[in-house]
Amino acid sequence: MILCSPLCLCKLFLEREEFYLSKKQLISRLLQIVVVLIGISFITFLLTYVSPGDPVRHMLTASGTMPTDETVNAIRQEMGLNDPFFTQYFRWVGNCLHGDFGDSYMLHKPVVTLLAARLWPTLKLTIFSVILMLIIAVPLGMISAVYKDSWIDYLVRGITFLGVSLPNFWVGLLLMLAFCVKIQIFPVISSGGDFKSMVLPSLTLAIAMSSKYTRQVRTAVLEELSSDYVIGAKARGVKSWKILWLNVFPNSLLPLITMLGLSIGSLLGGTSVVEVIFSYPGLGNLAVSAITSCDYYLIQGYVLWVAVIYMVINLLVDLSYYFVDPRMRLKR
Amino acid sequence: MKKENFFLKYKTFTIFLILAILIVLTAIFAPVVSGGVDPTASDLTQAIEAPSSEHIFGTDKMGRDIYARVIYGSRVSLTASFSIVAIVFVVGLVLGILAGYFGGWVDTVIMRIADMMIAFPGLVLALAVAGIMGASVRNAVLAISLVTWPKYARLARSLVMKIRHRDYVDAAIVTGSKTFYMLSRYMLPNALPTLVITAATDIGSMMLELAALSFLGFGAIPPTPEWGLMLSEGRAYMQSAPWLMIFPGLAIFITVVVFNMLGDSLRDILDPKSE
Amino acid sequence: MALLEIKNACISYGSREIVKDFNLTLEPGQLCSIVGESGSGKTTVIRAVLGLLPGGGKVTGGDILFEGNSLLGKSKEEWRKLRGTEISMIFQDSGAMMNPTRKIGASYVEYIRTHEKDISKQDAWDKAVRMLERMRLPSGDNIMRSYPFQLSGGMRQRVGIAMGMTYEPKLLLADEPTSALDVTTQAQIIRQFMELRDDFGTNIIMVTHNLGVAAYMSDYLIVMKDGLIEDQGDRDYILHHSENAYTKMLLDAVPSLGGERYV
Repeated sequence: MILCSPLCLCKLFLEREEFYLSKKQLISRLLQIVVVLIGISFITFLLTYVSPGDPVRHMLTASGTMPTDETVNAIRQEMGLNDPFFTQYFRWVGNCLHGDFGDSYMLHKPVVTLLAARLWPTLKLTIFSVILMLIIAVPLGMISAVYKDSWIDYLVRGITFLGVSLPNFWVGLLLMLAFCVKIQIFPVISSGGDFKSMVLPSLTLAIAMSSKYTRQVRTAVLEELSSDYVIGAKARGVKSWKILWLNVFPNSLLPLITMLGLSIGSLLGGTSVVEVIFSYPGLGNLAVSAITSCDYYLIQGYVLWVAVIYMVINLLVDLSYYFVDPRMRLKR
Repeated sequence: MKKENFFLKYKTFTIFLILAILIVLTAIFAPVVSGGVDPTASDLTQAIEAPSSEHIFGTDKMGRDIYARVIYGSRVSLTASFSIVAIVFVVGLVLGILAGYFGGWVDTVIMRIADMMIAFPGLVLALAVAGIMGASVRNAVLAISLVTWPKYARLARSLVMKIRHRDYVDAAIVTGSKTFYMLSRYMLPNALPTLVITAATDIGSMMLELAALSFLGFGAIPPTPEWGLMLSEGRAYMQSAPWLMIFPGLAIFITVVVFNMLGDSLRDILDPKSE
Repeated sequence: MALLEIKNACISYGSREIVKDFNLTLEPGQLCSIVGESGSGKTTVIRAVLGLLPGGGKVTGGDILFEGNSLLGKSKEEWRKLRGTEISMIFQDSGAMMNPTRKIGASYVEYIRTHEKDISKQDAWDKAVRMLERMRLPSGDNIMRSYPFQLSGGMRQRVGIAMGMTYEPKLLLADEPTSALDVTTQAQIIRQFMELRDDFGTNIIMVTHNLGVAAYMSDYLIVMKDGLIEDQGDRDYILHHSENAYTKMLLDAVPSLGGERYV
């Protein structure tokens, strides 16, 4: 299902001739995605294959029995873990292509089911924190650029500088200390996935990101402000606020789209720390416990899923340029 | 005389250089700075004590002195993040120069691998790699290096490509300069400054990534005094003993700020064009 | 009364003085050119007239009078209202002076509605189309629906002139208006400028590095070098009687065709 939607979209783009991104480029991008997926799947599979941990031993210990070498070996044989590397790898890839990513050793459920259940909470958290980040970063960056070299610019730049040096897990802990322990307005464990439990995790992520983005917005706005068309508009007597909000502002958002795409993509995988702190039931939290308990099918499935989502988002971002930037869309 | 002028001219750089040197000295002379207190010596009779004149940062659940642990923590943090930067710098530089200089299949192979790593969220892979290989500082260093080198390789390659087909390079080749000479005397000096700047500005973020891995339990293992790990251990006592997470966090924050500022001011000196 | 009078103007960026003691008196109906190499401060002078000195630039001495009133004493808002109505400017590449991500029509309508608050979008559009067609741009409607980068250099320059002439300004400032064009288009644009003066009675100050073009078009010429006026006079004087070494050097640099000077 997840592979189907980008394909439909691509078909849509292939049918529209006016798009600057040629069919050849699009096909090469899709091929690139396939190559990356093959590489990533190979690397993760290889790593789990050579890793010192034994999932069977883990599984048995977890269920309370002290495994003997014979029982471990018997189960390994039964699960096909003693087969040669490539046999195992191709069997797994073949199954993945049929939508079967194997069963989790620990939770005894299909990996697909587990990941699917966690995808939406993480997606929600990601989107919410990006929106929160934009609410912080865009006005700050604009003010900083418009009043360049004034005290407010120095203040904003100073704060963002400290901001990029803040470890996000520390921010999370401090927020938790302040709002859950001292003044108890938010739950310590954000298990519900409702709005209230999303506030602190997304605020943590937003604070970490907004420093970086404030600087980006500032740079982008400064660059737009120095372009010729601003002088042109001033020479025509157009009012400053119209120049700023109707021309400079929309244009300076264009370069941010790529960054946003990258951020959303890496947030889907990079929320782990924050999800662990707030016990948020998302993909990252699941991945961390999977890694801790050597739940290899789950790890592999997770890595592949995140890779697919990340690359699809980046492709969509690139395609979106052809809607928002006429210079890309129309030939001279 | 000349040196004096340099440091006076670039005050920000000088200030943060001194601070960075202080941090490095703290790490080297940790036994002295911590007053001879063993960071791993536990004393359960003194567990979870608030900061006092005896333990200025308090003690943790094992009764270990937080101040000593924070001081010793700088050793792990600094050695590990310097190692990462050194590894990715050397690997990225060598592979990037080779790819850019020779082109052809060498370029294709190296850059395809690099593209593959870049087309993927780094932390996810680092997490998986560090987790699968087993928790240790060494594995965390390798995991982060594995996902970071492509950035350096790409940069070095693009810098080499810029001069690869200049006339003076072609002339040097035609007049019989050996390949190693070409690489070391022409390509390397051309790629080095930009990469040094990048490496300097990256030290801080490497520290953060490393601390994050340790925090999740995929880096340093107990009883190693490591800031990320200390934060993760202190989490459970947030309500009763907030000092357990205040001081290690501050240590990371201050160290990262100092190294970020140092990197930024170094960039301003070496490359005044960028801002 | 002179339309524009610049008296002993000094312009600095920070502590660097770019233009020193600049004087100019523009009589009604005149086309005046300021000629100089890049860095001579010629563009700075007309930017100062419009109040559009880039960041850090300031008029530090002297005065600029427009119809007898000091421009420097005007409030930002008063000065803004003059721009695009009484005083217009045409640039080297008028296409680059419009927002590249918006259609020309959007920028044009925005400009008209800035100065006529009550005009409807449709009326503003029609006014713009009429103006474009008056500047010999066929199918103004199509142009309004294009992005700046979709037009040729000559067309973009005509759009720029049309926009600049919308309110029939008393003073038109032109900054290297033909330098980015090929020779044929250059000739057409030059002719159009001279018609503007004749048909609308517009006073023009043109800035150019090309003394040949300047001498062909202008009534009065000012030669600038390193922020100072090096030489000035009417066309006949500059072309035939000036003893100034720099003026002579610039004249020698004008391309000549088949032994005849291409002016």
